[in-house]
This record gives sequence, C-alpha cells and structure tokens, in this order.
Amino acid sequence: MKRLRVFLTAVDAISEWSGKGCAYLVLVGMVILVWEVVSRYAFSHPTMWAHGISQRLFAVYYILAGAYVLRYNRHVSVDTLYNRFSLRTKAILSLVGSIFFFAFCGVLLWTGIDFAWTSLSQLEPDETPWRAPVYPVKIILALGAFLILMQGLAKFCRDLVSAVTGKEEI
Amino acid sequence: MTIELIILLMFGSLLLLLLLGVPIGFALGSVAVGAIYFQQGSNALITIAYSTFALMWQILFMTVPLFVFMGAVLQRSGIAGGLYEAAYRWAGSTKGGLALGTVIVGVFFAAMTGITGASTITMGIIAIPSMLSRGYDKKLAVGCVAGSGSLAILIPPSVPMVLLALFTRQSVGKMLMGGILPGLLIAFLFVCYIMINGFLRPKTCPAHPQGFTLKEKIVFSIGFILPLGLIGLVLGSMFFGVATPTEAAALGALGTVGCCILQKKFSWRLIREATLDTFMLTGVVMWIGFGAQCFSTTFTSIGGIDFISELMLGLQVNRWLVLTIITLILLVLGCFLDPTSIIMIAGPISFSILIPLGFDPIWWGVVFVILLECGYLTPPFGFNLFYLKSIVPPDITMGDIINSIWPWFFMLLLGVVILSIFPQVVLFIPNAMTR
Repeated sequence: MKRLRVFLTAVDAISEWSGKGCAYLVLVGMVILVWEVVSRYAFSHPTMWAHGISQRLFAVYYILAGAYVLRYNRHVSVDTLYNRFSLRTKAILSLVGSIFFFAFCGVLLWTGIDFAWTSLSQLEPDETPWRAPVYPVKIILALGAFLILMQGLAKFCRDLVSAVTGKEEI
Repeated sequence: MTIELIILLMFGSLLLLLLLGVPIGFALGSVAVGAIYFQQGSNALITIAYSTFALMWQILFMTVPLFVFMGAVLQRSGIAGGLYEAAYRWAGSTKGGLALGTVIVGVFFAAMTGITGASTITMGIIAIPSMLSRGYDKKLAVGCVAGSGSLAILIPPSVPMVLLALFTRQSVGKMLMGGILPGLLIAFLFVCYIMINGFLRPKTCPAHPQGFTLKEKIVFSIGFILPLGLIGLVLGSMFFGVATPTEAAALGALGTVGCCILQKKFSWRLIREATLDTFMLTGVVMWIGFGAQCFSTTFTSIGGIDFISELMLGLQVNRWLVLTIITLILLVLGCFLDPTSIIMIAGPISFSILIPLGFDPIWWGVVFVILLECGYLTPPFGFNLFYLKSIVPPDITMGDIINSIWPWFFMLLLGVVILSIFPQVVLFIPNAMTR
C-alpha cells in the first residue's frame, strides 16, 4: 500500500509538472507568430522558421496536455447515467471503462514508438523549404502516450481501491 | 462483414461506451482500434499514430489554443465593465434598454472571443445584477445573457467553427467570415424580441427614469474603443488577407494582453491563470480530437462515408426534408453531447450527406454552428445553463434558468429559417474576401 502511494504521488507530480511547463508554450508560440507578421510587413522579410517552430511547439503542447487533463479527471464524458450511481458502482464502471482507455492509449504508444523509430532512422525532414527535422515531435507523441498511460494506470489503481473499500482513499 | 453491419457495430459500441461513462475521446479512439483490428488486421493499427500525428501537425489548429487564451485573458481584463457602461448609456433610456445593452455587449464579446464560456460568464457577472436591481424580470435578465453569450461561437473568432472547418476540410478563414452577418442577424432578432417584449409587457423591463445627455453618452463611448481596436486587428487582418487565421489569432491573443496592460489589470498571476485554463481546455478538445480523428479516418477508410452519401443520394427524397431531419438530430444531440464531440462526429457525416445534395458547405457550416448554439441553451446539458447557474444570485434556480432560454432558442431557430431562405447572408462576406 505504501509503495502504491509512492507510485501515485510520483505519477501525479510528473503529470503536474510536465503539464505546467508545457502550458507556457502558448505564450512562446504567440510571440513567434506575431514576430512573423511584424517581420513580414515591417521588415519585408518573412521568416522561414516561424510557422515550423510554432507548429512543433503546439504539437508538443497538445499531446502532453493529455496526462495533465487526466490527472484532474477533466476528460469530457457523458455522465447522465454515471452520476446516479454510488461511489463503488462508479469505481467499478470506471474500471470497466479503463479497458477502452488502455486499448486506445496502449495502441497509441505501441504504434507511436514504431512511427517515431521509422522517422528517426531516416532523420525525416518536413516538406517545407526549411526541411527541419520531424522526428523529435514523433518521439514526443510516444512520450505523451506513455505519460497519459501512466496517469491512467494511477487512476486504475485508485478506482480499484475504491471498488474494494467503497471509499475514496488515495 | 458487410458495410452496414460494420457501421452499425461502430456506432452501437460507441453509444454503449458513452453511456458507460467512458470519456468521449477514448471511446472514439478505442472503437477505431477495434474496427481496424478486426477489419484490417493488427498491421493497419499504425493508422492510430498516423491520425494522431496528422492532427498535432495541423497548422490551423494553433488557432484553438490562441483563441481560447484570448477569451481567458479577456475574461479577467476588466474590459467588459467599460463596454457595458457605454452600451447601456446609449440604450438605457428605452424600455428594455439594459437588455438591449447586453445584446450589444454580447456582439462585441462574440467578436473578441471564440468560446461561449468566457463570453457568457463575463457578461453575466455584470449584466444580470444590474438588470435585477433595476426591477427587470429575472427570466428576461438571465435569458438575454444566455442568448447573447451563445453568439460567441457564431461571430468570429470561433473555436467550434475552426474545428468544424478542419474536420470537414473547408476553408477556415471563409467559414469564420461566414459567421459575421448571420451573427448580426440573430442579434437583430434578439433586439426585436426585447422591443416587442417591452411593448407587450413593459413591467418586465422598466426604462431608466431620466436617461442620459448626449455628452454623457459620448464620454462613456470610450468603452467601445479598445474592443473595436481588438476586433479590427483580428477580423481585419484575416479579411484583408494580411495575416493567416493562425497569425490573426496570435495577434489577437497578444492584443488582449495589451488591453490588460492599458486597463491596468495586468499581472503575472493573471497570465499564469489564463495560461493554465487554456492548457486544460485545449487538452480536453485535442484529446477528443485525437480519438475523433482516428474514428473518422477509420470510418472513411472502410467506406462508411461513401456508403452514407450514396445511400442518401439514392433515396431521391426532397433535400429540404433531409436538411430538416439532420437539423432535428443535431438539436437532440445538442441536449446530451458536448459541442466538440458533435462537431467531430456529426460534422463530417452531415457534410457528406448535405453537400452532394447541393447545399453550400460554408452555408451549412454556419447553420451547423447556430444549431450548436441551441445546444448550449437546451437542458439537460446546455453548457450556458451551468455557466449561468454558477454566477446568478442563489434565489434564481436552475428551473428559472431553463424557463428563461426558450424565446432566445426560438430566435436562433428563426435565424436558421431566414438563412435557409436567404443563403446570401452567409455567403456575401466569404465571397468578398481578398483570398
């Protein structure tokens, strides 16, 4: 039980900090895009990299948000029926539902690693004249899938405890 | 397996998972995984990573966090106070003047934010207490905020419209611009309703006793300046092709931060809160998106979309009947599902049915968004009902709020009817765009 608690705290902390760090990327992306407009019109010198960089930053932003949102249990669901049940029934339903979560995110991780590996082994560039590498984003896709899987595993453990004890303990 | 059976199984299991309470994105994604695995084998599962990446890599998606950030900052910027004061000075001396002022503020806010929550909550906090204290009927006070707040997603910028355009492969810029005149039309219908209501039931909306002098009106018009500047920056740069929608969104986001500084509301704490809110909301939308992208790629690759379009074309029924049925389905979905999911599931399917029947895609996109607005108002799960419940005084119950929305709901539907008769209202601005 103590080990479980350590695991849960660690996973929560990782999701929390990776999320909070990523959240600020929106500001960086905003400044880069505005810079592109300014340099295009004020200096008649469009940048080659502004869209490519912000595209990469936001890709990271989206995929890493998954674990953070799951940590606060904010992924939207239709809870018409769900909300009418007791805590224990909710936990059991949630355990059943997590099979589908693991099916999707597990496949995302598994195929994501494959996808990233192929890209890395070719040092795949993008299709713009800039030809900057794409593989870092694909590696982060796999990382994002891994982080959300860990957070999902933590949720699974919590639901399991609630299903057995009928209480919301950890 | 026949195609009919696969389609039935995909939607059947999706429905079952949603009822079980599985989060929508994971439900969509896992149905896609199942369908690919049983239909095309495990080697084809790479589609999942591929579809997810395709969405992450989509440049126009950057508008989503940027528009959300804009709304989150505006909500905290204090710009609404000055705006309401100005609108109210111009409209306050007539019967229902405060309600008219609220509609005007609603239009301004709609042109600055792309999410209903930011606009409804920000307006409601100021407008509802002020109307109630002047003896307005609570149904009118709450309803007009709910209705005007829902305009946020019709008048650009609009997050749902960007999502809809991307998921149905339409021009984001054109669809956004298509929302301007319909938004003004519906605001006008709201104004008509308030005037007629003021004439028939003057006690529900008393006029301001002495009114304001022209000088007082002009002095307070300063409240319009910042919002107009911001609107000009975002919509102007998009309309004239000066900036791409993504760049326009970034300009707007930085512009709202500028507004905060001018309003002396700027603090790092405000930026931090707005940033975290944006991250959470974008994360929610994107992970529904990942699931939906996998689902729709799979659905298309097994021939589902082609099957549905051919089926509809083969039916030989009147296209307006088909449109009416789809409209009704969307209204029902709006009562139960959240707008993002409706866009991502029903968007591509409805386009594949209606576009072959000869409806204009931009026109249908705009009408689709008006139907989503209805979904924000209708019980049991209209988001605006919950936003309002969180800000009204405790003696206004959920029942009161639900009762208050119907006139505004019917005005939205009347808007749809008018746009069906005069589709030019939607198409005029998109066709006039520079690019």
